[in-house]
Amino acid sequence: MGFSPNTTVSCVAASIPTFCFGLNFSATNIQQQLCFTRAGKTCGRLLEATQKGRKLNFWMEQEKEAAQKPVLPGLRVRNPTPSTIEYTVTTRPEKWSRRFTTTLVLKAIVLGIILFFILLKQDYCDNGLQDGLRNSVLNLKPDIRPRHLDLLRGKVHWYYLALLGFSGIWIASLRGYTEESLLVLRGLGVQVTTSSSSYFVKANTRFIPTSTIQDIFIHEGFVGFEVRFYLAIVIRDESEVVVVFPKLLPRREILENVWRGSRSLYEPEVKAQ
Amino acid sequence: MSYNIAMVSDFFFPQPGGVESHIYQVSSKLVDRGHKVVIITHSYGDRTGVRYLANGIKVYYVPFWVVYRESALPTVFSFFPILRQIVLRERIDIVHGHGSLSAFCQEGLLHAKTMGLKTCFTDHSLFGFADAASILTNKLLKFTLSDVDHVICVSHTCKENTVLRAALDPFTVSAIPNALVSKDFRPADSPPPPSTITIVVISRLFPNKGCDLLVATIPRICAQHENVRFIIGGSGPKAIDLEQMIEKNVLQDRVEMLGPIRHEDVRNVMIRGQIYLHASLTEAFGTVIVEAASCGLYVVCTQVGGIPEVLPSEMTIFAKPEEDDLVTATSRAIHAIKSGTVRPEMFHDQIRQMYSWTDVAERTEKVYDGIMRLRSSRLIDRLKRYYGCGVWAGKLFVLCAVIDYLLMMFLEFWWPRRNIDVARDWPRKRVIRKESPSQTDAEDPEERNGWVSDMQDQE
Amino acid sequence: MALTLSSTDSPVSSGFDRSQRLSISSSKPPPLSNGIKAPDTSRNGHLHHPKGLKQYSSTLLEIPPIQPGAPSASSRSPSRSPKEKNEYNLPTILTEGPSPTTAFSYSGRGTIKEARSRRRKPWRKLMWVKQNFPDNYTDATFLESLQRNVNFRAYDFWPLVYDTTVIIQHLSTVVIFVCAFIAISVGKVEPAYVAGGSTILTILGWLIWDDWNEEEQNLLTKAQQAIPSISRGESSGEEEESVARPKKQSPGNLGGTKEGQDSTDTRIRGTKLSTARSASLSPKKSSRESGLRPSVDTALSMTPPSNLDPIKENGQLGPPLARSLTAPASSSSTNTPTRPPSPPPPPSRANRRLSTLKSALLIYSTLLGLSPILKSLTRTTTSDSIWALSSWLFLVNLLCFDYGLSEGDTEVKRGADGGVLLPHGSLGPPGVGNSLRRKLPTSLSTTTALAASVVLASRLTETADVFSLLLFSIQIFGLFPLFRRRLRHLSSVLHVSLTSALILFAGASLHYVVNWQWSMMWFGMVLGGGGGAAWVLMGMQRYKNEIRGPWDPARPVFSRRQWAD
Repeated sequence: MGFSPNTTVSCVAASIPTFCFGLNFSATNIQQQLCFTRAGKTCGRLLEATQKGRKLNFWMEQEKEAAQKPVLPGLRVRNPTPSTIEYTVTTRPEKWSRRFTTTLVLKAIVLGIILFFILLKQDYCDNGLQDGLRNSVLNLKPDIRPRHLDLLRGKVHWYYLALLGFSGIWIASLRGYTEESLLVLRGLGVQVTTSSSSYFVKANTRFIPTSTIQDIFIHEGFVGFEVRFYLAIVIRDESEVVVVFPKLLPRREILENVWRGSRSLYEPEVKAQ
Repeated sequence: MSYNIAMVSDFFFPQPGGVESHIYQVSSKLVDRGHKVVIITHSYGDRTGVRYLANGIKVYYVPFWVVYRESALPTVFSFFPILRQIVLRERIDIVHGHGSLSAFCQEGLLHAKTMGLKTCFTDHSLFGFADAASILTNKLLKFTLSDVDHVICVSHTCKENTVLRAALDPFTVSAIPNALVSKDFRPADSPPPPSTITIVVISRLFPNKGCDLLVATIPRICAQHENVRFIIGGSGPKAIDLEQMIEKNVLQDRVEMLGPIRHEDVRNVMIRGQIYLHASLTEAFGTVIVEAASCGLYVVCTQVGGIPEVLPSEMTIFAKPEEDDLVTATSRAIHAIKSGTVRPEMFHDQIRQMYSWTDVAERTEKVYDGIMRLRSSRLIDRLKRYYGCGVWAGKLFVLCAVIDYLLMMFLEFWWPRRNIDVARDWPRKRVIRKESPSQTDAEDPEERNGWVSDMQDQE
Repeated sequence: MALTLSSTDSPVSSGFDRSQRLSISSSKPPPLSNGIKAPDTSRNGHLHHPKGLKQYSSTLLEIPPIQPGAPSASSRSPSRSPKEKNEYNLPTILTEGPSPTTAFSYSGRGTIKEARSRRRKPWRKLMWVKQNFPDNYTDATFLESLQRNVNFRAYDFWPLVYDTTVIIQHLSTVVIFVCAFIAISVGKVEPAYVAGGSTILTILGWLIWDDWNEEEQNLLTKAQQAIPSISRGESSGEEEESVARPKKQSPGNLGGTKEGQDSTDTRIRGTKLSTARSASLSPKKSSRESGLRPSVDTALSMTPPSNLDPIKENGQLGPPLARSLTAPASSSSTNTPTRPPSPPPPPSRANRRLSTLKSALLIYSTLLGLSPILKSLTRTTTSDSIWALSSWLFLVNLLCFDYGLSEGDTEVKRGADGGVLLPHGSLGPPGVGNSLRRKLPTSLSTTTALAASVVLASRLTETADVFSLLLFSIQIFGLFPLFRRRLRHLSSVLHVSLTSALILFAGASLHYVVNWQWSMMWFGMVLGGGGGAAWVLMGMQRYKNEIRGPWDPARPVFSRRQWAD
């Protein structure tokens, strides 16, 4: 993914104050970013204050209870304990939906074919050419030996068969969807999870303690030929930000929803306000 | 009525320059007037992505050239996908290109037209018709401008030039000058004593800036006048010639070469002198002489391009681009300063009356008003217009336009509109648009209508 | 319309004065539709006494607007309203908005002028004043300073064709040489005939050349004596055309002075002098007379003194030959100041002939000795490569050949700042612009031609063949061009006849060596290249559209004094 948060980051709200034309602003410089994000927090609040009158639901009027309901398609919110909230963005199909069944059937077919070939090979090894499946099941004449039937006859080397088998298993193990989540533990930190593509590989998880979190913000960046919103966490003493939902890059409404919730959790004083 | 405007140009901050500051200042003033302005430019080094400038101007530094260079698309169309995304997510009404040498701008105008947006183009420079590079640029310009709704030029001479280059209807071309932030160019608190006359030259030292003339005139002026010093700021290939001139004529103590000067420091250099010498051979507008006059310098300049339109005659002495004439004019200026017949420190207030970015933004806004009332042209009309651009070029242009259109259909299919998030706007300033802000409207309201109706007639 | 409608009111209107009524009737579209006057129309048929009153009525037509009789706006003459409308949205061009195609001829000026008179302050072409005009206002003065085709000069057909002769001559020589090669290699012609014939011609040419030198010498001495008495600055510009016009006069009058020379030797431009001189010599002489004689001598001294004289046997002219063989790079034989003939201290004729003979013999023997080596030099290369290589070399030769434009070295300068086309400059090969030609030594073409002949010579079997071919090539590529150039400047008639002879000879040799189709092709090409190209060029001139204006970068003018040092 041609997505490099490092270069595309500059804080949305951060740049309001003292951003004069001549100021050279390098995103890689974490020191600068630090001061900008600090400024960003205050500015966010300022904005809220100024816009309250205009009913622009701008940044943060929604609270936790609003976020609990899965109001948006593609976003699931779990609230296991009062101080925990998990946002999950997923492309996983509904159980027994058409897409789900189709995937299942396809995988079964792939596995079946591979099994068939292995059996064929096994049979060939056991019984030889003369009286194997060839005569009994497939009913092929011995004098007809078209080369393209070598595969069916099980004359293929084990090596290729193994390759085929592994790839088949790999295909069958693919999830076919991506699931990314953000678990917010108030007072402790956030955990970012991105599911792997296969069932065999475990999900990519990272826990970020609250003490190291500097800011969470939404910004935009170029991804290939697109401009997408992303939610990112700025971590102290790290030059690169952590992008939440890096694969799916969900839509803006979802991000804003998550942002509100996460912000209120990792920053208790905001909630207290 | 407020618009969402996208300024498209290759030239923007952090690169310094006239076009860059023009874009920034106009955008800033337009934001003040309640519009939303987005600037689209290419990435500069690691300055990639989306950034905000003061006043909530959003800048897209498109990382295009670096990342997706290897894609097989010819560069004429390769900007389209990203431009479309930006346009949709920012809900752009008007695409405003700057600088005829900017490929980004030309592409942007073409694609914007394909998407049915309103387009505007500002030309900042003059071009001849003789050399091959100009011919090529002009052909390209003809292509993009043949369908642009309105063109803005920085001076009347520039307007004539652009009309000729792109074969435009002169009534679709407006002349709106550059301006300057006059508080950045205040005269010195204590003007330098007239016992020693200091002549300031600040320009890029290129052949077309008349450096050969400087090389020829400076020794003569130094020979004719005792108490004259020169300060030369700027860099370029001709700096060597100037150095040689200094050494040859042993003028080290009278001519000071400062090297490149940052735009913020220009004023500090200028106020060290009493006379500004501008020997350029071609100039569309010449912002620097306005800055010089604003700093309280008496301006000696060559009468080329749009320069005669820029300053009133009491602030300037015009010379022909000839060595002798330039020497004479400078001598006259020196005498005038010595005898005190001119009061350059008064210039600042006058300049402030003449040029301001607010005024420029107002006039630009008027252009926007005009083009927003136009009907957007159908594809077939555009094709007809392109076809008329030339025997072979016309067909090529038509081909380009058709491909562009097909590309748009493909993009609509591949990245459907509904999947593109609309960006949140920066909170807009409350629109304060006084009716009839300028005299023109107050006096003659019909005229403004006429301007608009005229635009409609053309469609 | 209204007239018939209101006919019932006729009694009321009867009180109206006749003249009024007449005025109505005479103007076909009713200017007023006051119901009052209308009724008379029914009678107008007979009341109408037209002719005499018509003029009268025209003045009366002015009355109606003054009448308070409620002249409704709709009834005004239709021609009126748009005009008024016009006055209001003036700057908006509605009338004749010039379409992009007619961008250069604005016909909408009338209305704009009206606008100017209506306003107190006229529009000014200034940016610093705030004017009561919209930003897109286009004044009548728009593009006033536009200049088109400033230095336009129409071509004439025959001079153009004449100019192509130089190229055609050179093409013919190449064709002749190639034909000679083929003839020798296939054995159609005895090589000795080729070499012998060309040598005889060369000697003839040299004799003529020597004769010219002699005349020149005489005239030169005369002119030098005459100089002090010549008043300066008498223009001889009329002679500019003399190259183009066939002009057969006494040899002394042959000087086809060219523009460039006029500009350079203004100081010594005396009528006597210019007539006394051949054109090709005048720039050099100018320099000499301005006291540069020693430098000329030194310039020449890089070649042995003997080279100052024409070679007797196989060359009309020694120096270029010697130089082209010994030091090709330094032999810019056409750069006028170093032109070899007529050196200032003229040695006796016999001496010159002797030295020419010497150098000719030297070359002859060198060539004789080298022939076996040259024969086998590229023997190992395949024939395909040889053909390709020689074709390329000949192409380079054709492109880089100095088509006689370097007489006026100063012309370039003048052409650059004035945009004046050189008399022959337009016909130079496209790849070789003026500036480029200055840089390329003319010897490049000679060298390539000789190289091509050496390469070709390796395909021959006998040493004698090789020798003949190389000798021929030296004569035809090394010496013949000099002769041609000089002849061209001396007499255009002779030049044209030489050209025709060459064309015919080339055609004939093609016919002899290859077949008649090739010969026909050759003639066709000559006609097409000469006449056709000139015709096309003249046709294209119509499309010339050079635009100048204030936006062009100014050309700085420096005083000479500054650049002298």
